[in-house]
Formats: sequence, structure tokens, C-alpha cells
Amino acid sequence: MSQAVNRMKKFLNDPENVVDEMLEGLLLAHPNQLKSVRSDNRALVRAGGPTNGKVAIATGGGSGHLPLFLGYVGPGMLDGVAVGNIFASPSARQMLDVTRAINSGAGVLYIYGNYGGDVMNFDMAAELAEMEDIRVETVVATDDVASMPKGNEAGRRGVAGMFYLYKLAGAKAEQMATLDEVKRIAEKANANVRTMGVALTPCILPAVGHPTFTIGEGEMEIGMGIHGEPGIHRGTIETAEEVAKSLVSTILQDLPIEAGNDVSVLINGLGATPLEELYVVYRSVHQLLAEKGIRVYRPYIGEFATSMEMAGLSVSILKLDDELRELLDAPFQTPFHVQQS
Amino acid sequence: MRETLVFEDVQAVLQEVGKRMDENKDFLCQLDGALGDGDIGLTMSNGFRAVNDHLIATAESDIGKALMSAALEMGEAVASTMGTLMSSALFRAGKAIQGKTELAPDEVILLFQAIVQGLKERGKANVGDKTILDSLVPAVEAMQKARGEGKSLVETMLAASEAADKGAKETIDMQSLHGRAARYLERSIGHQDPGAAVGALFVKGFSDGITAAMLR
Repeated sequence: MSQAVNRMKKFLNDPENVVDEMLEGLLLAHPNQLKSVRSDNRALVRAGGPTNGKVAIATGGGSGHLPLFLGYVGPGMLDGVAVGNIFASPSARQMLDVTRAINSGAGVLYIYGNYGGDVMNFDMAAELAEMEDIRVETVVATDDVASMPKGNEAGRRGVAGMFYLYKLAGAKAEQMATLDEVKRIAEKANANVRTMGVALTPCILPAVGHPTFTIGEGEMEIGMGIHGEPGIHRGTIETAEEVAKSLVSTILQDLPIEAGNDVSVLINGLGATPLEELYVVYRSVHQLLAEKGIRVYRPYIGEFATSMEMAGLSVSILKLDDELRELLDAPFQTPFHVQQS
Repeated sequence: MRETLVFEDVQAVLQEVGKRMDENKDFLCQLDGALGDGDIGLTMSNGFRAVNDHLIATAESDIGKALMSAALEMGEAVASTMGTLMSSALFRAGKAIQGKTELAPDEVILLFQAIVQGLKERGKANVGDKTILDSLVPAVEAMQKARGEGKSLVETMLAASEAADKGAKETIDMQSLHGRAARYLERSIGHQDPGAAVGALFVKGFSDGITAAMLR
């Protein structure tokens, strides 16, 4: 097959060094926001932290998804992140180093996606932290509807909807709430957010250099994971409106939302889809929800959880109540996003 | 013959485990190639090298503490699922024998029980799922039986190693029910589970290492 030699064009030096060089670049660009607490830069925390008496929130996961995970460290959001190699979990010790650096005595909440390696390492890090008398609680994001059928929600992956867990728990922690309260908010956010994604092209691991699978010419795959995990339906590419309809209806079947309810919508580009297309899709999502009497309170449109050069997008819908709406309004600032209020 | 292991014996035993992983690197990768991404031999070889480098360099005299920090070194060296599981299991083993500067036979069994418990909790798998537990659980059962019959540590470990080997081979006829291999469904039948093979080599390394140490 001649396609095997069709290597992807990428801006790289040595593909083996992509994560290290990315981290060095990020630290050089944002010295007032991020600080490294390990010589290998695999544990990053807020510059100027920890905040006295504030519950600290840590996340972590593999690289290759910017701004997930390390792009959410900052005021109003997270306190620290453990960084893994491309699509690989960080180690338990990297997580422990983050935990130690951000703990100010009020305890630490771990929020991360539901992936085997991350779960094992965060569980182990929690065990290690507890041996040092640091109280740790965990909330695992499971927003991806396509990854497991209804009834098996706990087995679902965490994808772009994780943004809301970070945002709402981060806002709560900033109010100096207790660890139990911050955890409750993260769990509440997780229970009220659903995501559906669609991909047009695969992603490419820098060290591999070519796609490990293909999506046919003129095809799209609904429900594909952010590491290229198989989706639930592969078919002929549809219009933006049809795609929006399919994603929104699947979400609303899974998470019923009544007329009169407010929601926040997050349209997330997977890396190679322009903002123009995201707004075209948002237009349809907005219309579909409006037809059902559902008001979009605060939409987020952009890149929140990517998969390198994968073309595609995901739609997340967060069901709001007064408590969540107030937390959503709180300001935050990270190297990638700023919300004034 | 001696019946307890001192720190140097534990070092020698884990060297033996590392040697088994090195010798079987290609075999393990081959097994993993059929059911996973084919790197388990490399991760176990590199992982136990990290463990052994630490155990040689450490100034710690507490066997449990030394094992706990060696386990963390493994976790840093190999971030794969099996690397993380093994790191986590060894950490639990160290925790279980914390404070000991030598290990009596029952403490060796305790160490293995902690490994099994750690793997069950961390990996959330059970016996019969076609995982490392299918070689380690029979090994622990054989150890307990042999001790109950008043066998020596060397005989106990020999029985454990035979049971682990048998358990690993029995995974050939099983269907993978856990982790990435479970995606192969019934196509996983006919292939030996690479994790179970790692478990058998681990027990074999312990048995050989303990036999050599006790005869020294």
C-alpha cells in the first residue's frame, strides 16, 4: 500500500521530544501563570500558588489534547496538572508531586477523564498522598454518551464536557468552599453534562507519523473518542444541520431537558476544524434547542479538548440550575481562555 | 537450610525476576502482539531494571520501604497499563511488609497476597478474566497449601511456581474479559494471556531466587 509512505506533515524536531519541547515552549510563554515543580516539567502548577486555605484541584492525563489538560490551570480553574506523554498517563509520582505542591491544607480534589491508566495512577497517587496526611477526593468525568450505553454511565469516557467540571468546581473552590462542597459541585456538573462527538479524519501520533486507521473519503464517524476509539456509527458525511440534529437528539435522549430549562453549550473543535464551521454547527444547535423551549445561557465555542489534527467536533450540553449558573458566571483565566465574568 | 530472607536476598530475588523478564522479552511481546499493543516484554524488562537499580542504590534497610520506593521508580519508568499495575502491586507488597529487615516464609506469602490484592483493587479484574491474576492467585493458593502442610520456603515457592505456570497456560483456553484484550472477544481464545505469563515469570524468578539464596 503506497499510503504507508504518505507521512503527515508536522512542525517537529525529533518526534520523541515533542512533549518536552511543547512544555518548554508553554512555560516560556506563560511564566506568570504556570510553574514547573519537577525537572522534567511533568508537574505544572499555578505560578504564585498555593492559595492559603483553598481546596486545590488537580487534573492530569496524556498529552495531545491541548488545551486539555494543562491548559486549565489558573485562577478560577485548576491548581495543578500532571502531564503524560502523547496519549499516555502521567505516573503516580508525577501526580503526587503536583498534589504536594498545590496542597495548602484544605485538601485536594482530583478531576480527570475515565481512562484506565489515569484511573490507576490517580488512585495510587491518592493512596500515596493519604500516607502523607493530605486528604484527597476524586471525581472522574464520564460525559461521553457514545462510549457506553445508558445504564453504564460510570464506564463512560471523559471528553470535552470535563471543561464544565473544571470550571464549576474551580469557581466553587475559589469561594473557599470545603473539599466536600467542591467535590459535590464537580459531581453535580458531571451528572448534568453530556457530550457527543463526530470525526471526519483521524489523528496522527507524532512518533508514528501516519494515521493508524482511516475514515473513508466522504465518510464521518459519530461517537469517535479523542484517541481514535471507535465510534457508534460510520456513514456518509452529512450537512452541519443534520450532524447537529443527530448529536443534540442523542444527548437529549440521554439527559432529558425540559422546556424552560437553561443550558450551557460547548462546541469543541478537535484540532483541524475551523471556528467558522463550529459557529455553523452552533447556529443549528441553538435553533434546535430553541425549538424545544430550551435557552442557551452561556455558550463556549472554540478548542477545549482536541486530538491533534483530527477534523471533527463535539457538542456538550450542561443542564443548569441557579447554583450552577452562578458558578458558571464566575471569572477565570488560563493561558488559553479568559472569562471576565 | 535458612528460612528467612534478608535484604541482600530480596535484592538477589528481584534480580532473578528481572533476568526472567529480560530472557522472555520477545516471548512476552509476541503474546502481547496477539492481544494488545505488543510492548509488555519491553515494559516489564525496563520496569524491573528500574526496580533493581533502585534496590542496589538505596541506603534503606527496611525491606518494605525500599520496595515501595522501587515500585514508584518502576511507575515512572514504564507508564503502560501493565507497568502501572505492577508498580502499584509492588508498592502494596512493600506497604504490607513495612518495618521488616528480614522476611519469614509467612511474610513472603503476605507479600504475594498484597500483590494480588493490589492488582485486584487497581485493575478491577477477577480470577477467570484472563489476566495476571490467573497465574498469581493459584500461586498464592499453592503457597498457603504448602505452608499448611509444613513445607519449607523453598518447597513452597516451587509449588507456587508450578501453580503459576499451570495457571498461565490455562489462560490459553479462556476469553479475555478485562482491559484492552477484552475487545478481541472470542478471538482472544487460543492465545496465552501476556499478563498471566508475566505473573508466572515473576513467581518463577522468586522461586529460583529464593532457592539460590537459601542454598548459599
